[in-house]
Amino acid sequence: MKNIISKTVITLLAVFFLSSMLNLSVLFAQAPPAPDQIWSFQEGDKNRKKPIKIDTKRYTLPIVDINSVLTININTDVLRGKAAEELGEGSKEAMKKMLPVLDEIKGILEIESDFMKSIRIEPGDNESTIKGKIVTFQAIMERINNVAKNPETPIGKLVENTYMKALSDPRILDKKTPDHEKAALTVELYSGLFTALANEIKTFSGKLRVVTGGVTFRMGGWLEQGGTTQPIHIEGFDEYAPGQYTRIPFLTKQTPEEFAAKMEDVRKAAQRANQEGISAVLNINVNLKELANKLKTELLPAINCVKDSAGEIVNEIKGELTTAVQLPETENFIKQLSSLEETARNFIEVTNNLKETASDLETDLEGQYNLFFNAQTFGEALKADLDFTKIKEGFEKARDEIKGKLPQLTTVLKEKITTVLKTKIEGCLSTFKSVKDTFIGFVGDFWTLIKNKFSMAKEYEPILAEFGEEVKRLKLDNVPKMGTLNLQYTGARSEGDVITVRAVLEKENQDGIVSKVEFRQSFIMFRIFKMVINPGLIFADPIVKKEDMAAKGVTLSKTFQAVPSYSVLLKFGNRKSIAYNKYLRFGIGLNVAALDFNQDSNYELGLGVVLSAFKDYLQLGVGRNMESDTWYWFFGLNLPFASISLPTGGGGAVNTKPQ
Amino acid sequence: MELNNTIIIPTDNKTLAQQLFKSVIYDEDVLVLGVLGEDVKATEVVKKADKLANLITQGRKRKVIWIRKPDILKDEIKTVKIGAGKDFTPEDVLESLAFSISLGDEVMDIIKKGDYISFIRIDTCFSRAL
Repeated sequence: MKNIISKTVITLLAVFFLSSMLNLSVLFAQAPPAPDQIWSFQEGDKNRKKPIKIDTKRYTLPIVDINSVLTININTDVLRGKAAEELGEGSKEAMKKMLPVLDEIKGILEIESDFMKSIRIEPGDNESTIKGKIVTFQAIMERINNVAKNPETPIGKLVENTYMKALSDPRILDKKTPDHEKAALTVELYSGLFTALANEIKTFSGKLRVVTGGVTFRMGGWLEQGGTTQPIHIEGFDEYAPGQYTRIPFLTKQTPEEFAAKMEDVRKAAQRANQEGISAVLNINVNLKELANKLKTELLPAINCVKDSAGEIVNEIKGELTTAVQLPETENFIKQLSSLEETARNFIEVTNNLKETASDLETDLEGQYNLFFNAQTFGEALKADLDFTKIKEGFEKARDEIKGKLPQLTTVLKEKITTVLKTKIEGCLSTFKSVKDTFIGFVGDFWTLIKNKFSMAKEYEPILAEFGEEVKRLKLDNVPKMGTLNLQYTGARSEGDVITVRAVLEKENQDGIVSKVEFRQSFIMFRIFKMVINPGLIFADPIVKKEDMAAKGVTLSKTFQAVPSYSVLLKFGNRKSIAYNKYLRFGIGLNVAALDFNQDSNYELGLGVVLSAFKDYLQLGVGRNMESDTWYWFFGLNLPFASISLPTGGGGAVNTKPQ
Repeated sequence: MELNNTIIIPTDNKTLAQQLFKSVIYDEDVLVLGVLGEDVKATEVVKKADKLANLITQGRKRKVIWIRKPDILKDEIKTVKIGAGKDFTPEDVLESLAFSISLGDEVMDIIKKGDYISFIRIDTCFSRAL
């Protein structure tokens, strides 16, 4: 078992280091420049000599360090090209075709020097150098061919004419011209080709200037956090004052009070785990019971309230019915009713007598006879007393009266019910609402606690912010080639907040209508490297045979002893994965644990190396009990329920050490 | 039409044609551009290629052979090796407008009949044979 555990620990360590190495390689990876983009972004800070190019072509938001300085390089040529393409005078389609060609030519011109060097072989060039020159030459020839092979296009025509002119030079046509001179003339030809291309670019730029007259450019930055947006200063592009200098520290730690409170929570959780098992660590039973009690206490008055209100409504209806319905008050009808009442009373009496004398039926024959006589008398009396036709008439009259009063009755009842509902039921509902709020509040606190613990970055929802007056409106000729956005001067911010840079090209026509082309880029901020000090609960298991432990007088009642500890962790973020930074984020560091392997209730110092992942929720490591000189391995949990009251419990080990 | 760097392959003497072709391809230390046919396009390529053959890059000289009647050298053309990694066949070479041959006697590029006939295209064809 121990072997398996040791191997597991070693494997995890290896995986961790490999992953860390991968992360490091990711950090220094640089994205290639994008020539067709109006801007490119670099991240740097005062300590970093070489800035990191930010890859903005990824599907997810690019990640930047929360304390870095973003440099925005504006490709003013591309910007002018876009302005010409989208807002300029003339054929949009022609521009769309031409601009990429000109971009490519610009790219070719940038490597002119390499090309020129590659044409000739110099004394001392070895085979590999020659091979390198040929590869360079061929590559650039291919690029020129790609943009100029069609002699019907402007660039194709230009290249064709340049060749024609150079190849008509009498010196090159003369058979007597020595080879070294021809080689020199060849260099001249290609040089002339590059000059012609450069001139073409210049001419085109001039044309673009005319085409894009009246186009202006604005660029602004915003810090987006928790659904709110605030403008931030970009050096060179606006007149906002820099925000308050705020550097997110390398070391994240709690205040001494918070640290002490958390350690106390962890200590209690350790006690509870040792006494009641690991399932008690999260205190779920206690919290659920508390929740149930809260519900019961709050809900009961609300239910009673509804019950009372319902009773009140019924009474109202009853009362209304009594006052609204009157039976006919004719003398005959009343007489008949009285007679009926009397007969009914007799009937009830007879029935009662029947009940009372039922047991004496077999023995008291006289009684039987009398009873029979009474019943007969009752029947005769009933027949003589009642005039059923009149009673029927009376009831029909009453029914008609009820019918006639029904609409009025309904209206009155409606009013009554509405009043009761308003006064009583609404009161009940507010009680219910209060219960619901209490419940939601309770669950919400619980959820917030969990969410804050597990989720580090907010979900990103792009916010469309408008430019403030402070953002400069620049003519294309005056657009700086570089803007600086110092994140440290953006004030209070936290990991997961988003920085957005937005730029627009605008042109107003004669009718005052403004046409726009918009560019937008957002970045999510994380602290790429950071150190944290985290109290946490670990479960330590000595890597010592049980017999050896027993020889020292120690028998642990559980395989793992839950002990309070804290870890000092170096956390590695990366610039590629938001999910990694939010959830996984490996850490490595030291763990200091308060062990009690010998169960004398005095803590022993344990020092270990720990690996962490999943926001330190999970930790794994090996350590040494400095007092007993024993190794142990451990896994740890950084409890998310530390702020919920945790009951205290007993220890996890049984002390068998002789006193 | 004055051609300074072009060998015109005879059309009526097969033996001589074969000797000349083999001599240029296999014996001379030059980059070769072979042009096939005698129509307007082929003539245009020959004119431009002859001029471009005056250029010397990386110390390598150039030469043009004009095979006006490709049938006469059909077998020879088909037996020239194709450069490694190229996506055309000996038949494609025979059907092309022009082809370039490296110092290692391998066909490195072909200009198809439908391709643009520009200096840069022909120069690139030479450069691919470097």
